[in-house]
Amino acid sequence: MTGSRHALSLRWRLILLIVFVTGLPAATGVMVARHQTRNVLDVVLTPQLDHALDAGVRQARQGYQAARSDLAATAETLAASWQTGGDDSEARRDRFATAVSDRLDTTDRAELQGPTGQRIILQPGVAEGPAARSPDGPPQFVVASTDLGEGWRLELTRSLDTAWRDDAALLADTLQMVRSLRLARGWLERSFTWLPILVAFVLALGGGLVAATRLGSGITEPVNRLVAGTEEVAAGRWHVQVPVERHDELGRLSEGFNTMVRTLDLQSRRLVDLQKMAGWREMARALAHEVKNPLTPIQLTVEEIRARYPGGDPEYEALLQECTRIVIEEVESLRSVVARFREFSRPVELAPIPTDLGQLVRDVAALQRDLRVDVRVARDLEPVPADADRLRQVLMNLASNAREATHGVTEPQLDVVVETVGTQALIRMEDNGPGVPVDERERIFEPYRTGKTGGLGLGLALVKGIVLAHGGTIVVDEGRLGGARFTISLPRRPAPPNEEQNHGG
Amino acid sequence: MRLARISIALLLLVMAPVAIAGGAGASVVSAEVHARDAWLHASVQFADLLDLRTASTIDSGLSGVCAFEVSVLGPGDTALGRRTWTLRLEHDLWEDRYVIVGPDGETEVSGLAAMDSVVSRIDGVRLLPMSRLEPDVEYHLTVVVEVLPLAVEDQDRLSRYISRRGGGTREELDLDLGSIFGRLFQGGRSGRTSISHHGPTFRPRTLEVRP
Repeated sequence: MTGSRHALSLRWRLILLIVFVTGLPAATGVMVARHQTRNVLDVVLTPQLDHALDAGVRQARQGYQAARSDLAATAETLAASWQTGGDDSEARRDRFATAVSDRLDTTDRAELQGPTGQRIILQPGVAEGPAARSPDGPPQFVVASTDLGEGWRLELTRSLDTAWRDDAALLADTLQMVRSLRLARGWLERSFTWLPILVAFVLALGGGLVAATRLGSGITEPVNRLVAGTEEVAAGRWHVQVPVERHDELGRLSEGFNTMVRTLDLQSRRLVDLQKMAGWREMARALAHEVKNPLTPIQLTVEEIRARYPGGDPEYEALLQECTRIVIEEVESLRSVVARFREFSRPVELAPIPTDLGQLVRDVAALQRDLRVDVRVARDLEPVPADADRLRQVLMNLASNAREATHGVTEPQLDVVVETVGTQALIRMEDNGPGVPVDERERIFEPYRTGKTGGLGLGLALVKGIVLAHGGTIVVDEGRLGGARFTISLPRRPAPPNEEQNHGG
Repeated sequence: MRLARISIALLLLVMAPVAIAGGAGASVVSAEVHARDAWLHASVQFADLLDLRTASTIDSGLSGVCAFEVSVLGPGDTALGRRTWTLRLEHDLWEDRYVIVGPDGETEVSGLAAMDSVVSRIDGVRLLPMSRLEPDVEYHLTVVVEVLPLAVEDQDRLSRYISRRGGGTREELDLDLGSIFGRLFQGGRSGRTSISHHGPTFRPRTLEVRP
């Protein structure tokens, strides 16, 4: 028992299960992802690729440097032609310009820079100014500059092939990317191994925990309520009911628990009632027996006394006649009482057949006078196994009580409702009389308790006996009209063997 | 999808400090202080400051950065003087020039080995006037060096390049290698070599004075 108290609760077991269920594939995923990531990085960062890219960049650089050397050689050649150009400056520059245009492509730029800072564009080419290189890539131009003497300089600019530049930029960028990836390889391995799995794990775990918590609460809370309810029942508190908030198996379990507790409560009270009823009947039987036996001798003795009187005293004779008449009448009255006691003491014998309670109620209602009776019968009411005559007796008795209770009321009224609730068929009879005080409601069904003059107080006891014999119950409380409301509950299915007879026999 | 993006971003931010790898082999070979011209000077010699991966990225045309901090600490580790500077290490792929750009201008060197040799030596850096030191009080030197294999502009450029190469699937994936790369190299954290050296203890009275 102690061990079970320390055992993990259902909710925690669910949560641990979710953690395990999400953690296992995550761990497997980490191993697989790590292996795959390493493979991919091995392929991407293979040394051959690095060497190939490095070689490609070297080739591109050599191409650039070759173009620059070629342009420098051209500049030197042109410088030689400048030296042999003679002294006539203008004619010399014209001849030099011709030599430049002969030696250069039309896209090349040639510029003479004079000793006084003058700049003479010999050939504009495609470049706007001195060669420049983009900081983010390979150069766009090669530049060659040579001293012509006497303060003159020649600067040549040649545009590099666009395709070369694009290829060189691609090679350089790719080489840099590969080298950087190599630098970050450890981080990448960890990131691509752990990151997606960790994200998936965290999301799955979070979702799982939320689901487990909700699911756990959804399961454990009703179960805990049922456990608490069971403990209440075990402690003898039969009125406990657990809330039914779901429509699934747990909801049905809660409903079943409630029904079971209600049934147990009902059966428990029926048992007590049956035991009481048996006691009362035994007392009634003994009383009837003890009272009945001397009645006949008393009556015979009185009649003998009256018969043997010889007469002679008219006054005495009159007194004798009056006294013997009274005694004989009381003996007859006692016989009637004894007969009713004997009837009460006999077990109720039923002949149950499927009975239309609605029709039975309507029949009883039709017989009522001095009382407005409203009858409402549920449409889904099915015949109930009952002894119709006995039930009619019950209903007539209750209607009679209602009529007497509403005596003096301006508009006496009796509402009768017949319906089914669960396994029970209910007949509710409610009047607008003064009602039954709360402290009298339990005892009103006991025999010899009556509020009427001349009654024996057996009517409601008989009613209860008949209802109990049907396996049902009867209670009284306050109705909507303010008067007494009797509720008869009868099982819709055949009752077990006649307990009432067993206890009463 | 948005939740996944937010989770990935958060995880990247959380994991980045964990993921960075500090340099393993770099070390301080010697660190000494001396007096000259009434100033305290320090000389430090490092080894393996440019590891193979850093050298490799510089060789591919990407810029590296060395950040130095030399401090003189007095009693209670109070900083009395501090010098900080950075050296940018470049390789012009097309001109094939190796250049170190520092506070005093550019220095062209013959190659990566020469570049490593230059950055690995701090030769007589001036720290503070000797007059600010008590002759018999004990002081010590601390040296901090960080080598970032990728300068910030190169990180951005590389991220843009990789994103561009990612093509049209970027918006569909919402997570591209370029953005990861950008985060990875944010602040030059990845592959960073970091040395923090608690250098020699000295008393000014016993300090070597050089001409």
